[in-house]
Amino acid sequence: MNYEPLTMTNNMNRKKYVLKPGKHQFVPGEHARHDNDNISDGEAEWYLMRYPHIAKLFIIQQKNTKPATRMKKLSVLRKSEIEKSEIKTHEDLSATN
Amino acid sequence: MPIYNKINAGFALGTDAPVTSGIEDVIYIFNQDDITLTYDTMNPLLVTDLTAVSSAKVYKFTGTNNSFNSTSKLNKTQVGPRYTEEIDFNIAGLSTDIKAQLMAMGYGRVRAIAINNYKSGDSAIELFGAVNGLILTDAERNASDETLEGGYKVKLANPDKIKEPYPPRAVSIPPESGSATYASTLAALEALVA
Repeated sequence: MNYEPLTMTNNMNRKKYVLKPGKHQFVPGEHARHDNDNISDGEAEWYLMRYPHIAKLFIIQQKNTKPATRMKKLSVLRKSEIEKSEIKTHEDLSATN
Repeated sequence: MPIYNKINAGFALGTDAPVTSGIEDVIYIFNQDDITLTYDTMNPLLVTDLTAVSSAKVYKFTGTNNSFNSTSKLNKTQVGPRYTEEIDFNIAGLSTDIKAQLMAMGYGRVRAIAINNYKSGDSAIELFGAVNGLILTDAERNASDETLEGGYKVKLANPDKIKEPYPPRAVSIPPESGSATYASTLAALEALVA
């Protein structure tokens, strides 16, 4: 069975709630023990419900933004490439004429 | 993570950034239960973020003429080194508002942030009372005192029989993108000020 390596990007894609880097206190005075590696989505939801102020400690996930931008960039790139190639073809034709 | 009882680096005296004494004439104080701290994953001496619980604020006390001071001192104990911390400052005023704040600092625990005049390291901004908080131990007003002209001479220190397990923590807060600087830390701190 193939396992995906646990990179930061993988981790961010899988988890709904991603903590910002560092060891966080959720309640003042607590030992700072919460980090992104030791909190599950379930735990995060539980804590968020009880301590709403910790929302600021999480990275807001915008899952669809990045791929969409990439796709858009790719399509723009392809279009410009096509345009260039058309110009090139045109130029070539004029050269032959 | 370095081994706790082995040193792993030395120090070379340089002339690029000679150490300078003193702190700026400003102290940021907040209630211990009002702000949560985020520490660097690898370095417990480094605070990388301050987050307010609901709409809690940090309060700024300003002075003049290099009259504020911070002290931290190692205390050898049977279970390892512990640290005592003190913040000396003054309040150049006299009102019931000031008296009320001083009374509150005498009952509840606070944490204090001081800004060192020496800004070349990562410890330009330091947090005192990170674990156990600080409590008001001196608030003296001598009406005929020429030094303070009748203002309050105030001292925050560890509560009785309690010491801090670490030296004062450095506060170094990065901006939304990029690495932490003195400016980004100060901006984050000022954003929390009432």
